[in-house]
Amino acid sequence: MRISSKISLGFGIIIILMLGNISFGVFNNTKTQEAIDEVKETSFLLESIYNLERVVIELQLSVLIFSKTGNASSIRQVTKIDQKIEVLLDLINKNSQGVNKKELIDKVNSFRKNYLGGFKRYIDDRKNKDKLYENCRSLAKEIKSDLSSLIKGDINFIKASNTFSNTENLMVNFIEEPDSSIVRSFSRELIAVKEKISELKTGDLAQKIDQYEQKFSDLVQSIRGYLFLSNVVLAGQVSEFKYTTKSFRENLEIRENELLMSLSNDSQVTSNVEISLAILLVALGLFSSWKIGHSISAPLTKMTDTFSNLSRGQVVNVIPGLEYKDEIGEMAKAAQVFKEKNQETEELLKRSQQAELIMKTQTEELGNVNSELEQFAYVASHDLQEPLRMVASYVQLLGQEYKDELDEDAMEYIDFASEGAKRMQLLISDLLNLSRVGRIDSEVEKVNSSEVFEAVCKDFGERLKLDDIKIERGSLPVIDANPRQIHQVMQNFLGNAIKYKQKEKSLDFKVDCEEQKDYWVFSFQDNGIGIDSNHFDRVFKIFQRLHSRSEYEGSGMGLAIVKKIAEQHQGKVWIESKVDQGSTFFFLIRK
Amino acid sequence: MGFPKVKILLVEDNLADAKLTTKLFTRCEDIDKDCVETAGDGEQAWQMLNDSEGLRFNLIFLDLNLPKINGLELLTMIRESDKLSHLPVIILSSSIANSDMKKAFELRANAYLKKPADLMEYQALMKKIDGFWFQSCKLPRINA
Amino acid sequence: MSETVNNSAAKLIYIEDNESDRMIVDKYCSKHLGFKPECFNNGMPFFDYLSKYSEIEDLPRLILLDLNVPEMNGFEVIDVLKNHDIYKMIPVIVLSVSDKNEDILECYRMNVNGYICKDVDFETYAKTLESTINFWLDAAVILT
Repeated sequence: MRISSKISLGFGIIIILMLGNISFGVFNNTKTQEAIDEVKETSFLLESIYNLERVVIELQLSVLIFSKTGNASSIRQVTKIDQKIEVLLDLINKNSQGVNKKELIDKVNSFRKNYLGGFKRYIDDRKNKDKLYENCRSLAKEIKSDLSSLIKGDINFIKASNTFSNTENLMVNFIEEPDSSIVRSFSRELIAVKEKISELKTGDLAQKIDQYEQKFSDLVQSIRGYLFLSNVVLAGQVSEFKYTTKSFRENLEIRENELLMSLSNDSQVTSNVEISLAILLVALGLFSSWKIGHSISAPLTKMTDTFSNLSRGQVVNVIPGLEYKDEIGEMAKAAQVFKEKNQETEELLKRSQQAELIMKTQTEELGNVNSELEQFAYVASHDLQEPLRMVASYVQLLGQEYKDELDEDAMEYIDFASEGAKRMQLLISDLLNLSRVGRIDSEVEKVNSSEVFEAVCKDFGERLKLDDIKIERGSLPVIDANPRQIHQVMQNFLGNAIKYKQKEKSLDFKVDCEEQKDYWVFSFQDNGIGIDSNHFDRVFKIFQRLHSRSEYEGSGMGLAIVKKIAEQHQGKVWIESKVDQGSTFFFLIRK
Repeated sequence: MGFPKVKILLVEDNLADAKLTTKLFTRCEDIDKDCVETAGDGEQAWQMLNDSEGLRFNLIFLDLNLPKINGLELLTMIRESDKLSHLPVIILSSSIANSDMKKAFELRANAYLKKPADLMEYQALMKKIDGFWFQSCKLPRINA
Repeated sequence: MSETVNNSAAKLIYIEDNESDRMIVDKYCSKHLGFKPECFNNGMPFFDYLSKYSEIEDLPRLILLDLNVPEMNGFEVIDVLKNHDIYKMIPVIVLSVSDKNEDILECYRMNVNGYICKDVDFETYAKTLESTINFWLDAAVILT
């Protein structure tokens, strides 16, 4: 696998694990959240039910107050409380989600309906009862007044009236606190009253008392009725309501506990799972990073070492990492190439060292050859000059000593012989000169070319002072050259100019120097006999002469020597010339 | 009287050169045949210089290119000898190599002359030699 | 005073305290050789002058030394010159009134290159000086 893939894989694993952990956490969180929501709802419902129950108690209380007072405000209170219930139900409806709520709300609503319906009948009954009571009281009053009018003197009437007042009191008591014993008492009392008055002629009083009894009975009935309503029906409804709410409550409480329990359990589990996952993650992460890192860094380190060795020019025998198929493998391949190049370089180096050695040897040999040549040239010219000297000297001596005995011809022979020897000497001397250029006498120093030219002119001495020679000098610089050789060059050019000047004209000789970027160009101009352009190259060749010896003397070496000197100074010579008009010799020398 | 004013020892191995030089010496005013003796090599020269108690020669013309003992060696020997150290020695050589000249001067040669290329030059040179060494210069007295 | 090419000493040095002698040399050089010699009264100013030059090609080519100069006398001058690594190459011709052999030998032992007697006759002396200069400046080969 490629390194990048490995790294991606490593990170991928870690990321996946992290994501897993996170999603597990999130999922759990959601679940917890749900549980918590449910718990909240349950709590809310419970609370609501508590509230409802309380409110219903309030309701009961108001009904009770009404039953006691019969006040309209109590009725209003009941309505208010009922509205409270409605608000509560509304809240429940809004804030809870479960199926429970519908059931609850329906049950409560049905309770309300029944209860309030009951209450309404209760109100009517009470009104009725009040009316009846009023009737009773008014009747009682009548009776009482009748009785009072009859009382006069008869104790029985007074007793009867008292007893009747008892019944009134009983009635009031009964109204206040309905009790069957009161009813019996009432009846007895009333019987008593009736007995008492039966002896008397009361007329319609007995009727009235019967009416009174009847009315009281109705009253009792009505009171019984509404008592039944309030104590049984309404109370029963409340009981039923309470029972319902209780069972709801109980269910909800159980549910709540269940939820809390499971919540706590769940969170414990989650925490355990997460911790384990985290540990696993860390362990895995460390392991995979170590593994991957190692699998990358180990070969990388080897690679680095290999490369640093290679960069130092060493030839590493075995390139590690070639077996890898990934980037390391590629680097290893590159290192392989590198190593091969190094090997090549080493070989090239070896070869160049060998070549250098060979060159050194050859240069030494060349040096040896050169010095041998030099010695040879020197010795040759030297040894050649000796016998030549002898020939020249003795031939001349002959001429001198035996002048008297020799005829003209003999003298001429001697002349020729002498001349021959002299020329040979000159030739040898020139040859020696030529061989010297480039070996001895070639130290370069600062040379004032102007001074050298003056020295050359001085050497020519008297010849220059004749009026058929005019010499013009330009500005001649200080150059880096060998002074003797520059002297030779200038001497040669001036000498040639003088030698090859036109016979009828005077020589106009001009020497000048032009400065260029990397070199100096000397020019030696004359108005002599000139040179045909075909011969421009020939003149610089050794022993080449353009004229016969009878016309112009010379060994044919001068310009060859000049050319050699120019080459010695990394320069060159060339000519511009026209026959019969003159020549300009250019001498270029490097700065 | 009796002894010549100048007695030259010419040390030269080349017979032709020796003869020529001797001839030119003798052409000089104060020099005759008896004033010049030749040695063909260093050894002979040394013998000739030492074969008498006194001074036989007071001027030496020395070629450097000698067989057996070469010129510079002979010069060293002369300069180291008590008897002969003061002798004026003139090198007359065909070589004007700086190395030869330097050695000659180190060894206290009095003068160094180059053998001329031809007779004419030689005659001119001889005139100058004659002018100074035979006519003007005071040489050690010959007494042998 | 004398013709010097930039850094070179005069070709001819004449250490002489006699004015007329100096005049002869001066005249001869100017007339025939185209240069003037450098003259000194005695050794001291001469050495001052000479010390300026140390390259062989800048050295004088001949020293004419009167033995009888004041202050630093001739022998001392010779001693210094001939024991100096470089200056010993310069030919020294001694001028003396004495023609005693001992004196001559003494000078040669000190390695002078030549010995001249100062003639009474000026004409002859002039010729002598002429020949000397001719030989040493023209014929004798010098180190370069």
